[in-house]
Parts: sequence; structure tokens; C-alpha cells
Amino acid sequence: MGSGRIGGTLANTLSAEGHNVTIIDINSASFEKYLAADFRGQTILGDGIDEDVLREAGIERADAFVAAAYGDNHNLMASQIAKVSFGVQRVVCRCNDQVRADIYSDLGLATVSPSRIAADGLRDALMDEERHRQDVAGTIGRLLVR
Amino acid sequence: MYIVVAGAGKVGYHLSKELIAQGHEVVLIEKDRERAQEVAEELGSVVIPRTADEGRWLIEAGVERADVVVATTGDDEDNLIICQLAELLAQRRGARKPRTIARVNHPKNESVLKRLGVDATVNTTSVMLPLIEQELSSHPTVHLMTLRRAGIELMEFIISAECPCAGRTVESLNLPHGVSFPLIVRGEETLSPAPDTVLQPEDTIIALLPTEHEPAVRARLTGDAE
Repeated sequence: MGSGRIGGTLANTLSAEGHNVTIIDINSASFEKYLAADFRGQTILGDGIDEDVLREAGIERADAFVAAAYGDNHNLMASQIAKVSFGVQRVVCRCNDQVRADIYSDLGLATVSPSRIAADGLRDALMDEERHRQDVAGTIGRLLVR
Repeated sequence: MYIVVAGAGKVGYHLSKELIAQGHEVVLIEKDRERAQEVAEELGSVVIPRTADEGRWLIEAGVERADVVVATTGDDEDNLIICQLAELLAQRRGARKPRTIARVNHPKNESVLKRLGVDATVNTTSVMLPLIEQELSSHPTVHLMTLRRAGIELMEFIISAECPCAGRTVESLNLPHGVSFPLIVRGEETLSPAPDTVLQPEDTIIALLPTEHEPAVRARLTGDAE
């Protein structure tokens, strides 16, 4: 669920890896914007918290469900519907807010916080002086060889 | 009672006003600062100018001593998460869980919210529907009440001469299992129907029926397609 920058990228990756992917979004423009030309999955226009839309997307046959839309609450609701109403085994939920992410992961819902991951990544790049120096040195070296 | 109301829009505001007038202690949480200020000035009650789906503001609102938490925002997913967080946070802090009530904006979400643990849901559409049905005199069927936990509907059917059941006995209708007619109103009289009671035009039948049998009962009594 969610064909934005994150959901779309994930769908492209999974599709390229050979998985059978169906992606849901409320806005058809998102499919064109973020799905790759070689995306082989199915697209469903609708709201992922609507059980009828989930059924249309084949959730009853799904091995896994990922809620990757923008709103945390939207994702948390859709994930719980996938788990409780449809019994999907693997459910992963995008949730930026750390407090909600912690509470729901205690309840057994796997949550991922993109803002946390991005902040950690940026911090690591910033603080890793060794890597920074090597990169700069490498670049200068390549320039000089040319 | 101590009541936490999330959302000070039209619904949350009027609800809080009524509850305060009835002598309840109410704390409101409203994310729009201007609106929060406006409501606080008028109601003179505590309004927290924050968003209720962030746990710490529910804690600030005293969720662990709340008897009831009502989520009244215009977004069903927010109302679900507010109710769930209120319950979880109260339990985490060793308090008894408050009763949670969510406003449902999209009728489809009513059953979903109940299944995901919200104690009670209020859906404007389903509150208005029976009132409208009652007003439309040509409509022979009225939903009186839904006993959700039992999955049972209490309905009223007004029988006309064109109805397929007119002139037949209750028994001969072969009603699905679990369907009963506790009462028939005939003119000024009320009858407790027996299997051999013959249904007549102008009868009003009060029926108790499992929700899933509603189309079948409707078809047998009024002739509506199943």
C-alpha cells in the first residue's frame, strides 16, 4: 500500500527480484511517477484501509503486506486489517513516529521508521571521518590520474 | 466521570459542552491551536493544543484516570489509533483501561474499528438512516436497533396487501434459524404471534434477526429482492 517514493521504490525492487507484486494507491499519478518502466506487477487504485480494495488487490492470497503510505495512522490501520481481518503472515508497517512504532512493535507489528533510518545514515556519514577522508582522497586521486 | 475527548471540531465541541453541562470532568485535545484557544475560552475547560495520536499528549490529558476516551476527529484511522493508544498507555501505566468510543466517518469502517478493539463506534450515517427510513412512509422496513455484540438486528416491518406474506401463517414463511417475531402490532392491539398466526395487511411486525439473515427476511416479508 502506497506508491510514493518509498512504496514505489520497494515495489520496483521486489518486482525486479521476481516477486509477484500488487501495489495500491489512492492516486493514479503516483504509479506513473514512481513505478519503473519494467515494473511487472499489478496496480490497484483505491484506499488500502478499505477491505474491498484489499480484496481486489488479492490480499486473501498474499504472503506479505507492506503499509508504506505517508500517514502513520493510515499505515497502522491498514497493517492491522491485513493481520487481523485477513490473517496475512508477514506484515510490515512504515511508521515515522518513534513512540507509536515502539508501542505497535511491542504488540507484534513489525514497524520501520524511514526518518529514523535516514537520520542515522546521515549521522554515520557525517561522523565517519575515515570514510570521508578516503572518499575525498579517492576523488582527488582520480582527478590527478586523468 | 472523567472523559477525554480527542478533536474539538463540531462533534467534539458540542459533545464536550453537553458533557460539562451534565457535570462531567472533560479534557479536550485539539491539534489546531487557534481552534483550541477558541474552545478553551468558551467552555472554560482544559484544552490541550496538541495532536491526540501522539502518546504523550494522551498521558498529559490523564488517560490513565479516564473513564471514557472519545475520538471525534474526521479521520477514521486517527480515531482508531487514538482509541488503541489510550487503551495501551493506560494499561502500560498499570491503570484500568478506559472505555473507548470512536466516531466513524466512513460506514465501512464501523466493523473494522470494532474488530480492532474499539469498544463502541458512532456513525452519523447509520444513526440518521433509520430516522430517514421512518420518515419515508412508503418504506415498509425500519431498523430499530443493532445489538452488535450478538450480531442481531431489531427491525420493524409494515405489511401491505402486496407483500408476499400477507394472508400466510408465520410458520409457512420458513424463516431462517434464529429469526423471531416477538411482537405484532395490529390496529390498537399487540399480539405475541404463534406459529399459526396469520399475517394481515397493515400489521406491524417487530422482528429480531441475525444480521446475516436480513435480506432473506426482508424478501419473505416485503417481496424485496434478496
